[in-house]
Amino acid sequence: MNARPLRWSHFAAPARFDRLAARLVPWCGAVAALLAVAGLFVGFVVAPTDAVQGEAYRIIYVHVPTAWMSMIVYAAMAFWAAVGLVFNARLASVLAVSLAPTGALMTFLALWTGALWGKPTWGAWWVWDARLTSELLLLFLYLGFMALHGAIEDKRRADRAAGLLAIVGVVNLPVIYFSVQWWNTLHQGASVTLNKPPSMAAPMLAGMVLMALAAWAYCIAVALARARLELREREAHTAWAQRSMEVGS
Amino acid sequence: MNASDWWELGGHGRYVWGALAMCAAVLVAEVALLVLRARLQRRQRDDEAMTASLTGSLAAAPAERARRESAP
Repeated sequence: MNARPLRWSHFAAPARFDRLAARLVPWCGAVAALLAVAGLFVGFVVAPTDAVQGEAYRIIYVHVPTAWMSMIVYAAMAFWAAVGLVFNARLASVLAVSLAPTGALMTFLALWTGALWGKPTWGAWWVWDARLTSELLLLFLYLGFMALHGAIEDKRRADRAAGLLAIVGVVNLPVIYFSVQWWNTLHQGASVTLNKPPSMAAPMLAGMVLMALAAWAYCIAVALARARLELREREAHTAWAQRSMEVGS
Repeated sequence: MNASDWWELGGHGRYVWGALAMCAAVLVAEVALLVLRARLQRRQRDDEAMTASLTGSLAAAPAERARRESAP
């Protein structure tokens, strides 16, 4: 048996991507729901109370996954925007555009949950701390990307202009990540890193990892679903788009 | 831990549940907007198809009338 290597460019054709995404979206959605239920169970039932922060620490199960996803989605958005610019690939630009609203929502949730965590632990909803400020800047980058894309009528020109903004904004990601090391911040340092053991109890870590994986699956599901809709709108009069809408998924 | 303790979460209940509630609301809203957008697309396609069929009928009407009038 000679297996042919998988060519990712195979799925750059909108009709093929549409069929692939139609299959992936329900699976990713189901995985996200299951992982979220498991993560919330572990986080709220199994994990013990924190010795220092009490029960307020349980915000970690939504704050950390949304904060991680706010950065990961931005990196993915900038990557696809760059692919779209360099290779003039329509689908890549559509993926970038489709990731932006989800990334903006993740950033908003990271800021919201952070404020609700900050009040009982720091005594303030908001401080102009390097981590918080750079995360707020990330939200403005998402909003700027969407506003710029929406302001230009020609979709291909809008893709290029907004894509350029997304790529420039990548510089903010290391600033967010390393802000707690580069500056003396009120925000605590990372509890989980790749080069040292985690500084939290195993059930707490398990709940957080489950919720982070749920957030991954959710973001993939909604971004793919939005990319399908965006592609259908752009190619509404093609045969594949008509068929895709008839299927109704 | 009883239900009241569970809700209070050591006096931090409003912060923890406030965070969770906003996350749930935002995620549900995002999915609902996607479903709505898909429905609007299908409705728009149906409207366009109906408009096209009506336009076709209207365009064909004078020719049909002429054919009937000329028929013996």
